[in-house]
Amino acid sequence: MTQSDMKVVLISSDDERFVVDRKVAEKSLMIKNMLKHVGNNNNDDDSDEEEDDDDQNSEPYEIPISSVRGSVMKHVLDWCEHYKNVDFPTNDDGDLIAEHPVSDWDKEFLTVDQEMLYGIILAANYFNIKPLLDRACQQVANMIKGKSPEEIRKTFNISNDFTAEEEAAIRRENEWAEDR
Amino acid sequence: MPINFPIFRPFLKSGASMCLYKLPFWDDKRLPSNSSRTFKLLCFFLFQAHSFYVAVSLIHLFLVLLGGVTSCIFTPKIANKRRPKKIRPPYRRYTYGSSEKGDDQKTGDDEDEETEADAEVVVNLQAQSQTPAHFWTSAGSQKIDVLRIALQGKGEDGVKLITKSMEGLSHSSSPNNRMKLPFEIILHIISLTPNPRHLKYTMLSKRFYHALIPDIYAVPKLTSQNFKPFVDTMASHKSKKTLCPMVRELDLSTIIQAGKNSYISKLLRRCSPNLQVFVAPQTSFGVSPLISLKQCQKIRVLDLGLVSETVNLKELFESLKTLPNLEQLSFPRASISCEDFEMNWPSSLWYLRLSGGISNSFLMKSSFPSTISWLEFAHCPYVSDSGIQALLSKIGANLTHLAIHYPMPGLSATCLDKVLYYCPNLIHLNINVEYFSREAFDDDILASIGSLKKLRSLGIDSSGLLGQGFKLDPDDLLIPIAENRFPRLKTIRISERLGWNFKSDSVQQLLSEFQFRGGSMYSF
Repeated sequence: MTQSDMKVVLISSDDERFVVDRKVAEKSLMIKNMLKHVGNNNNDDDSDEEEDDDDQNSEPYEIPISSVRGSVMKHVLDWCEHYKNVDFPTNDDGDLIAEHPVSDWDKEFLTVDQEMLYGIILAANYFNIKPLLDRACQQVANMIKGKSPEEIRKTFNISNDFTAEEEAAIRRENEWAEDR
Repeated sequence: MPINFPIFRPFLKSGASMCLYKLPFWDDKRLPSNSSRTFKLLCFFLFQAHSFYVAVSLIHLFLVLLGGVTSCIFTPKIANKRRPKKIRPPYRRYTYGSSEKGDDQKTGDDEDEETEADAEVVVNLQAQSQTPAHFWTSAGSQKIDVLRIALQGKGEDGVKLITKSMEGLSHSSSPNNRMKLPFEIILHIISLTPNPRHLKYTMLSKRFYHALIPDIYAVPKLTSQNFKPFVDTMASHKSKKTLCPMVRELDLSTIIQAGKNSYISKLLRRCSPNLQVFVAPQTSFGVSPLISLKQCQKIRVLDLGLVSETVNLKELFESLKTLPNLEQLSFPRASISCEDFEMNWPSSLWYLRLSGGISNSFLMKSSFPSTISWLEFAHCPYVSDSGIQALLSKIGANLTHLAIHYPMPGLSATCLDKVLYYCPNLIHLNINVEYFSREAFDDDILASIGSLKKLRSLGIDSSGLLGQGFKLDPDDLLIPIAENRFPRLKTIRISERLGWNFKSDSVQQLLSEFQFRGGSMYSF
């Protein structure tokens, strides 16, 4: 049994079970690092024979993901499935090195209601899937592009803790930076 | 006494005068005959004098009274107590050598204000300590402040505090009060918008304001239109400790005729704590901004290349002396020549662009630091062959980049023929055909150096003036390339004004030979 054939079971917060290829699940850096760690331990601790034993009655890893709902998880895993053969090189800081153009598939993938989009962002952030996070954030960025502060506050449910005077003072102070 | 005198006198005298008046002294019969004429005259004069005296003293009294009244009415105007108090000018006036003392006093004032602000914070903290001991972390998750519980509550109090906190936790994490996404992710989204430095994002809430405002001020985008409001903001007393230290780069290249010397020196002084890059404007860069430069201790890049006003080099060097971190320096293009060569160059300088009124003797005598690896020349009317050759023979071996741009009227037509000999470690070379001939790539010179192992790109510019077209031939380059004198040369940039016919055989031959060796050639 090779690594790529291995299955991983992800359990969402509402107890939905998703069985996916290890390769698909490893799009998430979080799961990748987790599996790497577990795999290393196995190699270190067990002898070759025992490993064979392991393989015979090996059960796929079950990973409970308590912070992601099933509907969102399905979406995210769809994305991972679609991009399982694409490599996104990153630098040491975890930033993407090359810009990947947003494909039509991505656009369609991300045309969901706002709540689902936020769910995808939170899940991508939790799973540490940088390309998906960036694309979803870009989608939101396009949404708030021409909006007024009040509209943006509503979009993110930010409470305004400025008094009217403070707001006017900030406007006056930063007058030079206005409209640019 | 002199005041009372005229007032009392008439009353004292009035009795006598009345007596005199009752006496019919002009009736000759009642007066004794012997005293008749003299006494009569005397009495007449006395009466006349007395009445005159009374009149005068009355007038005097009237005048004194009038004076008192007028003085009562008009006194406030003379003292002018209603005049507004003198306001301290918003900027400190300059004295030569910019006194540190004045600065200290000012900061003293500011510190007082700051302690007041601190006091407010303390009050706020105290107010906060009444609330349950939990807080929102920047990641948007909520935690219980265990440390505070440990410090404040022991035993039962602590348990109470914890339960209180737990209640608060479940209460305030209700979906109504929460942001829909964590703070960092919203910041990331803002950074992906077309204009992440838009002011509207700072207006979302106080947290966003504090997170985003340093970005806006780090590299302010200034134009002639918004320069004045920017200076006003920087000059205000409030922003000295908060906003001014955020400024990292000041690019005033777009400020044309909108600035004043005082504005720019003010700006420099205010932004001095963290200013790293400064590009001077074309105009209004006089003495006072130069002096203000001294305070910008962290400055790394100083570009005076745009300054079209004459700058006194001596004063410039005086200011540069105190800048330890300066790495890149561009001289002003118009400057008074400087006779003082004993200047201390900044120790970490690696980029130097020379222009303006520097002289041959300056190039020969001044001790340029060995750290300079990038040298550019332009607009040096006084520099001639001897100066530039002396400089190159001194520091040429350290140079990796050398550029000599067109207007160098003092140079002869063959001045830079030995440039490759002086600077064998060049990576980039950009020269103008006006100042070198085909001798530069001659076998004799190149053979004496061996091969230029580092040279990667070569740019040959031309002013396009008459007679320049024949100075360099494609074959002159072809031979050294074919002989593998420049093993790592990858790029050649040729000016179209050089007059080469790019369809001619010799250029095509050079091109094919060069491409065979993995290089590429551009014309511009």
